[in-house]
Amino acid sequence: MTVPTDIPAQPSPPDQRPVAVRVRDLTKKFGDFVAVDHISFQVQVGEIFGFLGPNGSGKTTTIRMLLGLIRPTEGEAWVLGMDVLREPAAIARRVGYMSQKFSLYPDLTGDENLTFYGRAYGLRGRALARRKDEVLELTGLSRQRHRLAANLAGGWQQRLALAAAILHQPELLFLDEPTAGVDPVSRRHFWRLLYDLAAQGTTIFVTTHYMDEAEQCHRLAFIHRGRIIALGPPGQIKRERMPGQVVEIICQQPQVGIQALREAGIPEVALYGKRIHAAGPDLEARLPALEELLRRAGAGPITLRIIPPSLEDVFIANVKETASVKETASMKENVSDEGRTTEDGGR
Amino acid sequence: MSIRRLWAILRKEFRHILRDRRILFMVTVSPAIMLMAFAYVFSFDLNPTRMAVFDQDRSPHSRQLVLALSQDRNLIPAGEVARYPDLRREMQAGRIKLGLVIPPGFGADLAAGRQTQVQVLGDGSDAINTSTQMALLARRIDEWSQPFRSRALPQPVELQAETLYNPDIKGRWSMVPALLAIAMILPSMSVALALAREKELGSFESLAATPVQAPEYILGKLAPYMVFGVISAGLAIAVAVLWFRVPMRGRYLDLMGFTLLYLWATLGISIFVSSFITNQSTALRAVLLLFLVPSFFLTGLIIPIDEQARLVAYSLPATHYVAINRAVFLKGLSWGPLGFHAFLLLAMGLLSTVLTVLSFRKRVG
Repeated sequence: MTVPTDIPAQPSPPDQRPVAVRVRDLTKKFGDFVAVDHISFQVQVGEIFGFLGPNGSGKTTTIRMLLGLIRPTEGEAWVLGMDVLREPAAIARRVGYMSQKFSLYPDLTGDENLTFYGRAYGLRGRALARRKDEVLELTGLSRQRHRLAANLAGGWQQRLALAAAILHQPELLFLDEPTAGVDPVSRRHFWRLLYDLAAQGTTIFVTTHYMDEAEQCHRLAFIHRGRIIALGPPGQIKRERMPGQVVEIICQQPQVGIQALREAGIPEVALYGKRIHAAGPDLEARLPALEELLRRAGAGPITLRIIPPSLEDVFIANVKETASVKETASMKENVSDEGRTTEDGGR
Repeated sequence: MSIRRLWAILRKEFRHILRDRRILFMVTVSPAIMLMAFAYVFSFDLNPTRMAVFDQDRSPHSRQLVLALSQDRNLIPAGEVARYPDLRREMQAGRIKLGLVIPPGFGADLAAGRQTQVQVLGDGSDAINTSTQMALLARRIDEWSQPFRSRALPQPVELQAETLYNPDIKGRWSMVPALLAIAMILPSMSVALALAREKELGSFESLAATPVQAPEYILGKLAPYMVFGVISAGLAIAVAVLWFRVPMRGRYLDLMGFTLLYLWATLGISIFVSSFITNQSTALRAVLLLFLVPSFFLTGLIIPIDEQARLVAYSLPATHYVAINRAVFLKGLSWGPLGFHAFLLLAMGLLSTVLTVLSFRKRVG
């Protein structure tokens, strides 16, 4: 892997690591609907890059453009130094892809599916047999290899799909919601596999809407309605992108508490289990006032404390923020500004 | 284009077919079963028919008869021939279905009050229509000869009828070979469903992300269904010959060659259309509308090809396969006289495959 040379000159820090994916102003419109709206980001070689956003926010569309499966309406993208518009075939040989839906052939066994995908990537004979054994070993599927894919449990199907995607030893792996609908134990196992792959030098581009998974990525992009609203390592995003503080409130009558906080004009109020998370500017200074407010509302015995924001808190706050900015300023400018600051700060 | 990747797709495709009993059924024995069902079902109607005349008499009487017959809406005059073998040759080539032979002395006999005769040749490979037409022709000639009738001469013109290729005028002899064209649409239906299914499953998206190229994918789909198509055609032909006792006057090897061309044309068009379709129910409907329905009514299978719809008819592969099958089975024809039909089938197969490859981008979503 070398640093791509065909990328237009751009001021870049001297310590820059090789870039696996570089995207600039990438846009996809379906008729009037803008699925992906001028996004720009980079993925460094060897990192696990998370694309976090709700369903329909443009995650799959972005991946499909990077794979050359759909044409961008505007913008540019390079994968492993190659232009996605000009060299989709060369890119296809060097990347792996695991689509959102289980897409292997249900009427073939795991082994047969791997044989087919291996051959599609030009593997054959002893090399193919060896790689199949390796990926089956790695994913723990060795004993299930002769079962029909249709008869594998959900978590096993995901692992088989991963096995098929890494069979040809891709430098870069695109995973589109790989753990959607999979039980927590299988999810954890799956993420351990991803860490192993990353440790061996594979770059991983993964989309998810699970916050706990997003926390595990080296760097993250928040995507919402086709726009990137925050970009950087999870810790940094939580530190820098949270407007104000988060207060965790434990009280006997959470519903009453929520009602009172909303009436008092606290911007963010959400219930997590039995705990209320309230977020807003300068809440730390207002703690005594909040306690008083809740007591008077009749929420019962109360405990309040400032907590570090979770990614979800940050995500929700940023979604609200961009939505309100939209009314006053040019959205596009806002997003690209954000992208640049966060990216620069990230290194 | 990589042979290795093409081979990978071929092997996978064969596995899919062999593993799914429904598809396996559809691409092997179902055309034979369909042929049996349809062969018992159809009954038929009368249609305008082309007739040529061999007039050896060239008298006013013979010309009057020809003129009178040409007034009939059911007979399309196809000119005169100079020699008897020409009449048979025209019929062999399928340009006429009826031939009228007027002997020398026809006019003189009638004028002298003697009984005379004419000969009518009919093309038995289109049995139902021909037999009805011959009966009708006999009546018209009888009507025309009324003025010459007397007590001594109750039937002035005697009719000698001869049916070529199918002397007993067996409807099945002409229908069964033609219905093969319908039965052999089933492989096209299977391939359309297979393509749509791959998209429904999402497997196509994964496949599209691999280095597999359009020609590999398309040939990898086409070839297995050609192979099974030939197998199922063999079974259906066996049913035609062994069960329905249709005489096979041509060569089996020729018939298989024509069948291969027909399969290529129908599968090719089917793959082209399906490449724009993303779900199985639409794919099924497309094949039914594209092939099955028009093949019954526009291809000469049941009713002869309408002159105004000739262009449409010729653009349907079944039109050519119906003509080819009747000719190979009943007339024993081979590539020479059937070259036109074979060429059009070849062109359809080639064109649809090239168009699919050219228009095929790895479309998803």
